[in-house]
Amino acid sequence: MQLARRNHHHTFLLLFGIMVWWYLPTSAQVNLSGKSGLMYTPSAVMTDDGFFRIGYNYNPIRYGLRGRNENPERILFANVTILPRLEVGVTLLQMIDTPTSDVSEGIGDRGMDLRYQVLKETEKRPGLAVIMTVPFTIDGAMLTHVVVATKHFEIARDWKLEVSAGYGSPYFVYRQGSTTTNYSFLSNFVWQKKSTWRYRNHYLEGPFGGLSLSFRQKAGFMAEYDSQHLNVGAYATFFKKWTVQAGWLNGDQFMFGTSFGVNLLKLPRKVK
Amino acid sequence: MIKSRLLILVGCLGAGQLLAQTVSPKDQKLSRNFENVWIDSLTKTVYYEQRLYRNPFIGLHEMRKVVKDSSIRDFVPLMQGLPIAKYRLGPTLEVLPLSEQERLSHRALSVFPYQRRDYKFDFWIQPVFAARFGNFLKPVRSNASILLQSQVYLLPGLTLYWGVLFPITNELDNRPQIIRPAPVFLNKFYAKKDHFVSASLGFFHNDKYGLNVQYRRVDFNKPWSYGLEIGVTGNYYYPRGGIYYDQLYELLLLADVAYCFRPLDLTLKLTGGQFLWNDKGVRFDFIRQFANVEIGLFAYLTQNGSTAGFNFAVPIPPGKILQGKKVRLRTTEEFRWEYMYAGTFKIGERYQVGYQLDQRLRQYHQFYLQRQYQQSK
Repeated sequence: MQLARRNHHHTFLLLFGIMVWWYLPTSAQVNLSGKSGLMYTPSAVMTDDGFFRIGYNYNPIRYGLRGRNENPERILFANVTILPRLEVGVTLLQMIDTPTSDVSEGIGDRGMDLRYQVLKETEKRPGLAVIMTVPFTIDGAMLTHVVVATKHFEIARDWKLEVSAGYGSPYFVYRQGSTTTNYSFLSNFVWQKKSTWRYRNHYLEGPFGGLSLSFRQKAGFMAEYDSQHLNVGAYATFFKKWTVQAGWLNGDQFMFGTSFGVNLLKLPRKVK
Repeated sequence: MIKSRLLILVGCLGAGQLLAQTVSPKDQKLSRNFENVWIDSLTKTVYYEQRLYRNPFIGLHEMRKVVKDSSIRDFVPLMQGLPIAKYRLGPTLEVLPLSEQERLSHRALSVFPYQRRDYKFDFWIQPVFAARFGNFLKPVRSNASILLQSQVYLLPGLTLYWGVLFPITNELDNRPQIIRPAPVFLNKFYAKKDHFVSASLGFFHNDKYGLNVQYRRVDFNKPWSYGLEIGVTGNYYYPRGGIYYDQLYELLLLADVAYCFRPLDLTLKLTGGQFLWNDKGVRFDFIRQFANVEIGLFAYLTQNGSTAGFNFAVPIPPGKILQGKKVRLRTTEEFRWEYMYAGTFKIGERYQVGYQLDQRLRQYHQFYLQRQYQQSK
């Protein structure tokens, strides 16, 4: 009995060691809402357990999610892989004042997204992820309801190609009501067709896909079809933690962003 | 009889002296991070207190460096001068309950009040930030302040918390922005086997004064734990030139049950009872303990409505700012913040005392410390 328990204990430690030290390579670039991805599109690139990311994105005026040609927007985001396959992200989308269009609103759109890694990528098959803006949302312009697959290929020494393809649901669920009258976050759920939603931005509505070509995971080029337009971009990562990226949307306007990521499961420096 | 045992009593300064021949100046400096250090050379046990780190594993790790004696394997962290449990560092980290004899002998030899001998005056800077979002004219309305806080150890387990509050913003109510006392209250911590109590009396955070008692039953080796909390409070604040307070009329009465999943250090907790404003209902918590940081998601279902949100607890860098033998200034070891989408509907509201017993105790759980111990090897 005693022995069996001890073995059990060792198995636990071994499993534990594998869990902590083994992980698939993570790409640093993120999409508009702060998920692993390219520019507008998310990917199924797995994030390590305990990975925490915070960042900022700028979305240009002609592609504003709240309204085309009205205001450019900034997106602040933070997300954490709170369980080995589950990521939780919070976003704040704010319109930026312009000389002709003053912003009059509250703090902005507060959003929450969940991302679940259904399949981990292996040699043979791509990784698969489902991403969903929480249905408790009352009002939101940056809505993600997608399923996406991603596969990596080593095409030359130090060069990796990442290929993603996904589909954005044309329908979603939200909570009907207003922020001042609705206090039950589990009520008033309704189906909504995305194309007739109050913000007709068609963000991630229908099929999308993208490619990223990276050099040692430090820098790379990106190209995507975001379900509406073709976008190209580039990124670079410094000190393994800090990423800067930019994209040229529809050959027309530029978006850019930056993010910082650390793993919260890493031992504190004082203990090393 | 107990006193005849070879037990070395040393304060923080004493630890430095005792270990002076065996440790480098760097480790000697490290020893200043600790207080109330006792080395029982008969049982090869170190008793110590550290107030610097939110993550007790850092304290454990540093204490091990300070004692340098490889025959010492048992470490007993103290809280407000009282032992929490015994941690044995071998191939794995084991948590052993302290026997009544051990508690008694530690108590018989501890000299209170500590401040009479080698007591360290520990001051910490604690930011407080409450905000309401969404107003069109002023998107973020906040009440922010900086607290300079300290503690005075009076008796074993009994501590006076006190401090000074420096206001920064206040757009939530029209109370004057004056430099005033930070929460001032007495806290009694009590530990025996699996039973822990934290009782507070005085002026708390969130403008509440009164009495708050928290009880928790937890075996640090097991996943289940249970808690009870009762509070009787009223409101207070500082108008210009005085103090205003109303009657003790609010009852907070909560019971909870929690389960900790290994090896994720994920705690699921269900709390039910009466929150402030007579709001009865339940709260569900999903809490993940990472290394220094804790992140949680939660939901409320109460008479006043239902809502959800997230919270986190982080240490504020840089930690130590100035540290001498007798005085220390540091940033808080724990900043906690909670966001929920509740408008002004008074869903599941509560107040903060100095520390919440369950939050403090889960940091001493074997699962959480074991993971870091194995990672550090």
